[in-house]
Amino acid sequence: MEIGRSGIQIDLQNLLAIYAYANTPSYLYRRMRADQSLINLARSIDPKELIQLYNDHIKKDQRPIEDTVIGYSLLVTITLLNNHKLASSLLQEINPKLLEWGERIRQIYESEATPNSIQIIQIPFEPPQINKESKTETSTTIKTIPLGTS
Amino acid sequence: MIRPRLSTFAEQVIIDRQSNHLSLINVLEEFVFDTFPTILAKISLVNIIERDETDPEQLTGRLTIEMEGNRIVDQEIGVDFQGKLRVRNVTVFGGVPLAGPGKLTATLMMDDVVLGTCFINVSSRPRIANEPAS
Repeated sequence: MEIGRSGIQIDLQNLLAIYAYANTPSYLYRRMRADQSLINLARSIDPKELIQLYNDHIKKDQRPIEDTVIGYSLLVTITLLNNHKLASSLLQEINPKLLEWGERIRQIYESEATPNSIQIIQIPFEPPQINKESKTETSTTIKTIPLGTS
Repeated sequence: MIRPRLSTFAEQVIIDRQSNHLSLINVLEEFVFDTFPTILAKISLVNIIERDETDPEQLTGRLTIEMEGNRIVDQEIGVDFQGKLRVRNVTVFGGVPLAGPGKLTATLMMDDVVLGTCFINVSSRPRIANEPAS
């Protein structure tokens, strides 16, 4: 389903199903964090737009269940941002208490968030220098192992 | 005070997206090879570092890998606690050359403070008598 003006896609059917089965904030938080559409959203969305969308869907007097699920989804999307400091400040900027389990989800995130930094270092291969003027004799030993017989 | 909590080599490191739990697969303590020189195709180093509230959030460390006095890697590493008191630093190395048996030592330092150090013993497998050289 598309939400917002800039064509943001989330898998609302899956998120509604998670919400319907959720009996604890922890369950809702963990299952929504595994939703691929929210993982993709966290990679691409502008944080300001995220807050705007959250406010648009949550600050209604009588909101349909879809808006509540979108609210939780956006809250969880904040926790999926690859920057703990930014996520913490966004969670303070929005009001998670507008959702019944919002504040509990924020607490779970804060208690479990340990920042990770990952580097990949590829060491360039340097072949050993061979002196072309020197002659070396090489010999190859081929070891033949007979196949097992019964 | 900045202090190391854990420093170890592993074949594979997994950080679970849902729970943010860290898993080390095949923790490495020793390598035994038939022949040298050889290359380690992939090896991961995990450093978990802790700080106090009064310590800075962002640090610049220096990560080195040495083998018997021969420096294989010397890399500057940024460490960002992002407001928390603990951070995990995972470094994946590809193509680590090993010239011969010895002690492969990784050290993460900030100024003169060692934030994490660990080593792997690298040895050659003893030849069986009359075994042809491979």
